[in-house]
Amino acid sequence: MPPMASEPDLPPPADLTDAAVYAYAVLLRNEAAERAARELRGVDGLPVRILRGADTAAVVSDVPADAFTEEAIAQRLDDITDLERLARDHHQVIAALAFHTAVLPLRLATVYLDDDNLMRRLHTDDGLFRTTLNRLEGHDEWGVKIYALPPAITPPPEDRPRSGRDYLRARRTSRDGHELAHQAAADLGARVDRTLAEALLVTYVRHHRPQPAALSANPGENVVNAAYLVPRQHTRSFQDRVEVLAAGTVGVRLEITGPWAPYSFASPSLPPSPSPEQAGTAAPAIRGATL
Amino acid sequence: MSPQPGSSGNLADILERVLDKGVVIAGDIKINLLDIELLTIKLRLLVVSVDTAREMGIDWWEHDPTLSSRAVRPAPPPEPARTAELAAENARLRAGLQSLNARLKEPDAPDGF
Repeated sequence: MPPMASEPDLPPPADLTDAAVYAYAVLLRNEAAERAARELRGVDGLPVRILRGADTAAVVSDVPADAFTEEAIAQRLDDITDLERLARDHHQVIAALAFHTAVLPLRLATVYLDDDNLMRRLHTDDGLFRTTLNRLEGHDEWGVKIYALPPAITPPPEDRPRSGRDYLRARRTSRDGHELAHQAAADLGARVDRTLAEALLVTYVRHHRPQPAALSANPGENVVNAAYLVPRQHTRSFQDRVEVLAAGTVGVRLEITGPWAPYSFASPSLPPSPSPEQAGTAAPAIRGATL
Repeated sequence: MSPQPGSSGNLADILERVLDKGVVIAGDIKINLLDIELLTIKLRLLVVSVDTAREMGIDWWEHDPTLSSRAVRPAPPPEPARTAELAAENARLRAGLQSLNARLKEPDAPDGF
């Protein structure tokens, strides 16, 4: 909304009530990333700037305060079109930054009244942010979703049930097929976890809730929705291993998404990265957490 | 490797990450982020309306490159029973959503935030 400075009847806006600061991510101070950030457009197409702390920096946009009040945000999140736009704008900034350096993605709609308040927050958590960012450096997040495919539902005409018993048998076969596919998907997920851990190709794994079938354009029921933190030099091996495992499994569909900024691994409360000695032991080095 | 990180993700992948993951640091503006369950209901509402719209022959978004992702695909026309079922479910979800919204807006909700 344009400022209404020319309205003589309106009192001048009190200091700091006309603009707010929308924060996307925290990163270690980094020239290339800061240069890239200045070229970006963020929420509502607004310019992006860098707010520098001691070692870390926040990536922010100045937003009209009235568009980001508690009520206004609630309204935007409540509308699927607005929500999608906001989510994509937010994500785009983070994705572009992640191309240059390790980033801590902040949750959607983290808004401050002014720079000072955000700077204080940066300062308070500086140590934690630095530790987490160092842990994430050189890694990408990859998603692996495994779907159980529905068994073929139309039996050939000659197999049409001729009696009640035949009908029940056909029903049971179909249900068993469904359960088999579900089990195959879950087993494949476990095999992917194990293989990647044993080959030391991933640093962490997190299992997210399966996505509801209504959200998928493709057939099948989402059974496994995993995120892996993968060292960048292992990207190719990671993909190859996962694809080989998937190719050998009947009744499932596997989808790899990424690279993502490390959204699923940005929480500072994750255990520290396994040390090389630990990784060398027989026990899988992979660390897991199920939400 | 893809030059656009995360580009292969669909809307559900993105929402799951920006709403449910990422670092939570306290902002100055208090927001009640959508519970992921509530989000699922909303998204299902969207999908149900998409199906209903398509059934009515409205499919303009499928030709709009900014709106049509792989997330929207022509589906076989739903059977009448399925349509009634979807409409009932739609009504149920809307009612649920309304009551959830009402609860979120109540300043003094006993089980509030």
